[in-house]
Amino acid sequence: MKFSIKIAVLSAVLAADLSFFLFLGTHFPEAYELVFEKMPWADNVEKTFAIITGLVIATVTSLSIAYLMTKRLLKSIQRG
Amino acid sequence: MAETKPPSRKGAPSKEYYEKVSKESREVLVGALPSITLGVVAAILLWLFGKLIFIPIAQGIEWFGYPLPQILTFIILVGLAIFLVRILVDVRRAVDALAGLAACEIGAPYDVTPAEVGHYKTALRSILNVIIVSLAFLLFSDYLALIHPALSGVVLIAIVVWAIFEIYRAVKAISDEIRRYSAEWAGKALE
Repeated sequence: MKFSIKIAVLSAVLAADLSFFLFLGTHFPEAYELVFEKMPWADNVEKTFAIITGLVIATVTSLSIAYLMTKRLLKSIQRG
Repeated sequence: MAETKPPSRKGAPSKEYYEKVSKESREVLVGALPSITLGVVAAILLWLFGKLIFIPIAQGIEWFGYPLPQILTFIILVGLAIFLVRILVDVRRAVDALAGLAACEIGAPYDVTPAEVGHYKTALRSILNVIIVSLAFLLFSDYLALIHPALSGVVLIAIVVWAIFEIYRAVKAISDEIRRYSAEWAGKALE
């Protein structure tokens, strides 16, 4: 996969993850609650898994973006 | 790297030894610097995500009787600790490489011995460790206080005791060098 596509995909995942928790959770709490109400399990269990998964996704995607950019920077320095 | 065994003959090492150490140190430094940057970025991002987004949103939620903010805090602390250990290991490698490189680039023409390089390495490593752990404590302190208000204070006391020990090591390493130089100068003055 090309570098720019990798960065775009990772950025999109990170943006979707953060906007769900930050934007939807704070500005549209009704929509945020509705997502959890639609699920079959108890709200607290769902929210716990969603929040922990959200944190892991945000960390992994941002770390991957930083890793790819550092790798790219090193390559360009070595070429130069 | 700087750990390469010096030649067995007494006095200053040979030119080949300095060339080998210099080459290995450069390679280690090129490998360690991006890794340190990545570790620092990862630790700061994890701290920011936790502090600004996920812990505020977890307020009031309980998971089988356990408050979610404390569970999240624990997960973030484990993550931060892993990143910190990685950063410290990479800093150790980078400092060793820097000391080796400095000995070869600056010290080689003046016949610097590996023991002297070792002293500078110890001093530099101790000072950098204290700086890194103090900065890391700033990342940890809020999360530790969330688990228990006294935890942050206990960790701070432990860090202060450890920092005193590290600074003592650094001062001892430098004072060995100062003692050696003053003995040389005194010897020359008496001649």
